[in-house]
Amino acid sequence: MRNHLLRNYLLCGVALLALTLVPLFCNNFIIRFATDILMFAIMASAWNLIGGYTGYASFGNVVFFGIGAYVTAVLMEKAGLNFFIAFLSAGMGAALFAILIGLPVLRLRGHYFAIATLGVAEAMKALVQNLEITEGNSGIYLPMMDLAVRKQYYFFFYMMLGTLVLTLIVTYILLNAKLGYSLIAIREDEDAANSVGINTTYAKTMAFALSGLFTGFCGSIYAYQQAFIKPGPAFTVHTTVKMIVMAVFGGMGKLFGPLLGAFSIEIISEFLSNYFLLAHTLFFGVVVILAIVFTPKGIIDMIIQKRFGLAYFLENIREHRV
Amino acid sequence: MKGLVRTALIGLIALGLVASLELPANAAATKVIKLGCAISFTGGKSRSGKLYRDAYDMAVEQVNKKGGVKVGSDTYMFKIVYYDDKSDPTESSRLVEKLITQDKVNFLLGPYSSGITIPDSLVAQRYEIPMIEGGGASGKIFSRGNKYIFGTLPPAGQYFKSTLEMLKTFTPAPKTVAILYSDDKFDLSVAKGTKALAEQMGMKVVLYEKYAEGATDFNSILTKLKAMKADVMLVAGHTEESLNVTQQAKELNVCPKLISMTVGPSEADFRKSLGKDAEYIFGVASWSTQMNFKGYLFKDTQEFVKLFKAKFGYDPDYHNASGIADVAVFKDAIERAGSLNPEKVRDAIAATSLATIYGHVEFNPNGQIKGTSVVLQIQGGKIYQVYPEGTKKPRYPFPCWKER
Repeated sequence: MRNHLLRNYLLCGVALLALTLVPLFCNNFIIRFATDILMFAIMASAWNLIGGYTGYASFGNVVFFGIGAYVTAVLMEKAGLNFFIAFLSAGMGAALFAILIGLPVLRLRGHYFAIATLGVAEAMKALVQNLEITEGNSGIYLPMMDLAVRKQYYFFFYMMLGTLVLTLIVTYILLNAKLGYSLIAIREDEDAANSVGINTTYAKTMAFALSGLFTGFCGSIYAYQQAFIKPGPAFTVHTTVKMIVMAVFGGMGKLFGPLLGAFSIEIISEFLSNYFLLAHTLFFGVVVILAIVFTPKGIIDMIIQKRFGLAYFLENIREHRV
Repeated sequence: MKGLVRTALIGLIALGLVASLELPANAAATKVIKLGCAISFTGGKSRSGKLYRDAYDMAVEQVNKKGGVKVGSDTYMFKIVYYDDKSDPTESSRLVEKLITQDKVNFLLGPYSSGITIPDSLVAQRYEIPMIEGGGASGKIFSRGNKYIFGTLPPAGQYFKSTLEMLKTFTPAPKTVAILYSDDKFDLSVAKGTKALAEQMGMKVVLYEKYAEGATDFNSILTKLKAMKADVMLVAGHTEESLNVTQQAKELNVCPKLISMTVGPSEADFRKSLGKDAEYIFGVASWSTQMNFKGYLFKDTQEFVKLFKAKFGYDPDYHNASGIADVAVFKDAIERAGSLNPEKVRDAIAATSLATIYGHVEFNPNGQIKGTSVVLQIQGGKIYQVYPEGTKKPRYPFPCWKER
């Protein structure tokens, strides 16, 4: 058992080192692409906290992303603050918002929760579109970094990588603490969890707040990299859908599931749009559907169980009666 | 099953190899100038994205057919490298990055919509590669001193510029202007810009009045206008409002020497419902198929319209014409620069003065095109371009309602 753990830590270390070295050997496009993948890995992992572990399918997680992006833009552009201050405020702002909105919304369950969160994201978009300080619907610029292009991309890449590592470490610690067990208990049966004395409100709100924190960080780095943001794209439901698809594709409720999902989904999608200029969305849809049908537990399940054969797929199909 | 998967995988890899081998082989055959374009093939903006793609394709085909681009003693062909940005600004700016660093394109063509153009143009700025775009009109694109972005859609503030210029050609030139505008964002920009331009040109803005979008009662505004004896009445609003303003002006017998409206006169319904009262009313448009400009790639607008319709089966609109102008400006600027150096070409683009089927192209110092809108007038129940160089001469002054 001990050996097993050690090997896992070693593997993670090697993978991290390899990731750290990526930018040194690649052109700027690959770095930027890798940065985007890391961003979605963080967001899918953050979604996993509330959707995968707690079982609350949030359809509005993009709201944290948008808040992070706008807090950064307003603080840097209007208040002239340094990026790091804006970055921290973005994460905190999103987490705070998660707590405020979580208290009423987390009382809802199932479809009701999904719809409510969707509504929150749309409402926030409408608000930002009409505020003076966010420059309304026409969008807001951020100051551009005064560095050589390559150095800028190093900066964004390592910021994202750092945030991803932080996200994974926090999730890992949390899962092995009481809170993690509370979350899983809530997912399995909230009423039962309540009756054995778990403070479900606290646990749910914490999970939601952490989900908001990390997604807010993403929004902040994203905004600084793009150097211009608009309400439409910053709060689009597409981003939420992407988080969910990645988490499900990789494996919900597993630490590395969403990460794996983000990597594979982005790479498959890039590959398809490279070779099929028009039909790529169609093929992409097919890939996602096949993956859900054959491996509903996500591709991480396949890797953990080390089973790649037909029997595994058939077993899944039988088990889930598709 | 395992075998099937393996075969499929091998097939995919083979396909990938073939596709990746094909590109360099083609490029080596003739000298090529690569234009990169990340634009919406799918997603919410795909409909307008297609208009630009059709225009870019047709313009490039025409350039190559006419002997390509001459740089010094060499002849190059244009080739466009497209990517689908899925109507997503994040995706689009990443793809522009790809076009520059992996595909090593020489220059960039713009995407559709202002929201996507801005992040794209920031990438162009980071790499100092010029981008000409025909699909983003927002003043925001040009407000940050980005030297590498040029746009061929005129800003709203310049809409009445050609009308004001036309006024100067009349004797005696009118001196006082009244501006009425609806309170939406676009019309507000039109009104603001018009006021500034008129004052610059030495005219006096005696009335500058906002009304609520969809208003039906203009009696008080028109009475004021009459009292101030404004020579010119300019209206920036919507069709319904234009109709009401005209009818009520007739009832109150308000007759300035010139009436012009942004929306309305060019629409058939407007002329039909007003009948004879619509006569002599002026309008503006940034481009339409009725216009006739001498072209650079095509003989003139009319020839372009005919060829375009034959090729794609639909009438071109201003999006298409703007896209054609983008490619034309690149060809002209590269030839004048005599080099493919991005910096030299950028300076050449900034110094452009070119007649295209879209109209005369010249850029403001911020990179946006100088107003190319033309003046239209209703004459004999039909609408004609009257300035600059229209098919008919402008009829001025406006005969008073009672004297018709």
